[in-house]
Amino acid sequence: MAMSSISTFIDKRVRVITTDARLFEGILEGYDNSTNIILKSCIERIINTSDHEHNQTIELGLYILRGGNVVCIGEIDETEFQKIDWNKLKGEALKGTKNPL
Amino acid sequence: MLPLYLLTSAKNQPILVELKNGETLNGELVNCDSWMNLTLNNVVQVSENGTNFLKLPECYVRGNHIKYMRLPEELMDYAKEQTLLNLEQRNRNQKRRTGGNFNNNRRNYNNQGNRNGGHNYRRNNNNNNK
Repeated sequence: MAMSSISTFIDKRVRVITTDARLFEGILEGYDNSTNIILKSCIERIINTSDHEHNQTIELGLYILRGGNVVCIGEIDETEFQKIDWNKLKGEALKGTKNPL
Repeated sequence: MLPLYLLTSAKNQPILVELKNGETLNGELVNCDSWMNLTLNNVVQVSENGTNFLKLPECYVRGNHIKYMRLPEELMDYAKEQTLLNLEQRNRNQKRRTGGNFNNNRRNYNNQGNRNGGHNYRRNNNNNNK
């Protein structure tokens, strides 16, 4: 069952990538069978490519993400994540899932 | 908790909706349905680049077109409280209907009279032939 695995993430901190290539983190409070999800204490992380731009974390609060925009949901390993300095991290921009012709 | 349940408990609260085209709508949620179609009141519509602002007295959003919604943070606790209350109420009603014990079989039917899976006509025919 495809949906059974998402139930193991409930009440855990997860990170979600959406079709518009954004990155959200929050506590998964609920979901339904069209993968609409509730994220509590949600934040968005913006990670920049170059050194002279600052990374941002934006506090968003309670969010409902519509299933059609969710690309992937992954559980966060808190002990691993605390080792990461999110302000210094650099990374390439994700590509959106929409490929205009 | 189901996302649509949380959404229905956000009625009469201010919410932010981002559409798939990047436009955002700020307004008070009036109603929603199981397709996530929304009606909003006192809406401020912001264009995707954040330059154009448009005030609308009311608007309807097709659920299909929504990217995400931002709800008031305290709504989660409120919705959880409501589910608990509903559950309690349902239990109380059930107790009242069944007279305290959770046994709906008041007339003491044992519900095992016909164990032939409903195929009892053949047996009747046999009896007629005798």
